[in-house]
Parts: sequence; C-alpha cells; structure tokens
Amino acid sequence: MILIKYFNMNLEYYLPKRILTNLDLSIDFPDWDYIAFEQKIGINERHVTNNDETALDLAEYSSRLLLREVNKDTIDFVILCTQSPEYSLPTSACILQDRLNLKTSCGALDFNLGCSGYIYGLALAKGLLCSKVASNILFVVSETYTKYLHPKDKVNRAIFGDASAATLINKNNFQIGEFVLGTDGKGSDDLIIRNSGSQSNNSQTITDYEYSPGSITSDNFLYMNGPDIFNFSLTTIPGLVIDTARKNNMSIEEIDYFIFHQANAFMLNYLRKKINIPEEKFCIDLSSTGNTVSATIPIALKNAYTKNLIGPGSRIILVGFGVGLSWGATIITLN
Amino acid sequence: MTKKDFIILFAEKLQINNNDLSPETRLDTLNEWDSWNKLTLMTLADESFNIPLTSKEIKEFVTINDIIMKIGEQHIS
Repeated sequence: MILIKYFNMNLEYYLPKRILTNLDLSIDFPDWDYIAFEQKIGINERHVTNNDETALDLAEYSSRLLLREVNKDTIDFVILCTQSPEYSLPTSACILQDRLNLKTSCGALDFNLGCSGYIYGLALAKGLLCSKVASNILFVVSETYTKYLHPKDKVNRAIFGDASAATLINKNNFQIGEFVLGTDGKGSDDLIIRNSGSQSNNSQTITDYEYSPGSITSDNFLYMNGPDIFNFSLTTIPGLVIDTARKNNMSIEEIDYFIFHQANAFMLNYLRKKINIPEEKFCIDLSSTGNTVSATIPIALKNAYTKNLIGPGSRIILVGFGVGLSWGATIITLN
Repeated sequence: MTKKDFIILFAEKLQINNNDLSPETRLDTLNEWDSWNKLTLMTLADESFNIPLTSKEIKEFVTINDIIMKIGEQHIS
C-alpha cells in the first residue's frame, strides 16, 4: 500500500500577490459582460505574477510553506511539473533543489504537462516509492500561463491565473489508488503556443488574429480552441471517471468527493450532471483563482480539507485533463 | 421535436428572446452568439440529442436552420 502524507497538512499552495479582478479586466474590454461571465464561468478574480516573478519563484514559495513543517534533509527527490520552465536548460527542479538548500543526494526532474499534471505527478511519485528509488518526495506544480497570453485575449485573460502547490509524498498516512491515464496527441493543436520551443522562429513576421469575437492572439502567444477542448472533455471525462472507479473496485456512489481540474464552472457543472454526481460531493472552487492549470487540483484539495468537506477516511477522486491532449484520474484515501 | 420547439430550447439555453428567432436567423446577427454560447450549443446537442459538435461544424453554421440540419431530421422535423 502506498501512502502519502498530505495531512497534517503536507500540501501547501502559493498565489502571487497581484490580483486581477473582473472589474479590472472590464477596463481593457469595455464591451465585456463580466457579470454574465461570473455567473456562467464562476471566476471573479485571478492571481497574476509580475514580470520579474517566475514559475520557479512560485515553486520556491509554495515549497518553503511546506518545508515549515518538514525536515528538508529527509527529502530525497524533487518532481516539478511546469510548462513555464526557468530556462530551456538547465532543469528548473535542479535550481529549486539549490534554492531550497536540499541535500545533493536528492534526485530532481521536471516534467512538462498542464491540467493533467497533478495526476501524472502522483503516478510518478507512486512509482518512485514502490520501486524504493525515493522515500520522501517533494512534488511541486507551478504555472504562469498569464505570461503566455496576448494582452488583447479577452477569453483566456479571464480564465487563467498563476499559482503553485507543493505536496510531500511518502509512505506515512495517505493512500493513492489505481490510475487511469490517457493521451491523444491529435489534439496537440487545440492548446498551443506555436512559436515556442524548438519551433521558435524569430525571423518570421507574426500577425495578430481574432480567434473568437473580441479575443485576439498570435503565434507568439497561447491559443486555445475552447470548443474542441470542451468537446474532448464532454466525450472523455465521464468514461474516465467510470473506469477509474471500476479499477479501484468502487462504485461512483462510494466516492466521497470529486475534484476535477477546475477549468471553468460551466464545464464542471455540465460534467457533474452528465455523470450524475450529487452537487454536495462535487468541487467547484475557482472563483478567486481562475484556472491555474496543474495547480487547480491541489488548491481545491487543500481548500476542501480546510473547510472540513473532506477528512480522515474520505475517498476522493482526482481528475485532470487538458493540454496535450492528456488526461488521468486516481482515487486517494485520507487516513 | 419540431423546429419551433428547437428554437424555443435554443433561445432558452442561450438566454435569447425566442420571438426574435426563426430558422432563417443568421447567427452572426445575434449579440449572444459568443464563444461561451457556442459551448452552450454543444451541451444542448449532447444533452438533448447525444450529438457531439466540433468547433469546425459550429464555425460553418450560418443560420439556425444549419444547426437543425446538422442535428438531423430524426430529431427535428
């Protein structure tokens, strides 16, 4: 049995200090009906990094919050999930090891996933623990998508926020169940920064285009095909939830709490109804943070615990899905 | 479901006054036809007719009748 010590409470998150409210955004987009947006999408504000603040900085801050309660010398592996690395090279997790002054016998690696990242990190950590490669893992998710957004991209500036979360994973008092994972790279164009990485071409002329009424992007910035990502979610997630319950020898009714990636409340409400999940068992927690990509699930988990919505014995399904396209789910049990 | 019933349902989901709508109504004339309401149409098609709509199909819709045609005569006549 693999146990994770989330509690008491070995999961912390950090939000940048700067807050961007819907009222702030309405100054940039005067025709935007932000009250209707709040009602439908469920986001009132989001935290946004300053220009000189990076995902690695946020990772350091959330880790420091966690390490207040943890002997840092016990940590023997760092896993950092981010799509906003400090450099193409070196690995951000290596810099994080140094910034946190963790021992040099510590393993460290980054992996590049977005909204499914927390699930994949748990799967990697479980593998490292089972194989006895590591015994005390610092697993950090950190994302700053707001830096990738075109200033005139109304839709995505309203959706995304920045955040980081750090979780200590070891064999003490938390059970991670079986995983169901999936990938469909045919949808890689649906959420993409085209002029980035090895595909960067600084010599070409980049033109702005309106991809949705009132929302502008270019190949230098993030593009999201909202309708097709939505369609993917509607067609994939109900089966993912059912398969994950089955693989863990549970019925949907036996799951105490459902934490999906907090993409937007409209999608979440629709998925909840489609899967027949009771409202009181279903987490919607993004009004003050927006969609923080790989950080939404641990933020929601921590908040649900703090609000006593979950506690010892709770069986919680965690479901991540998005950029890649990539998806995954598992069931954790609190001890 | 009749075309009239579909228009009532479409208007209700998108929060539009259905008196202003007919099969010939051009979607680009509706202020409410924004990116979020395109997602609302996807949920309507999925929920009521079990038909998934892609972004490409939605982009090609010019009038409400185009949506009705896509959903099909077996559902709307």
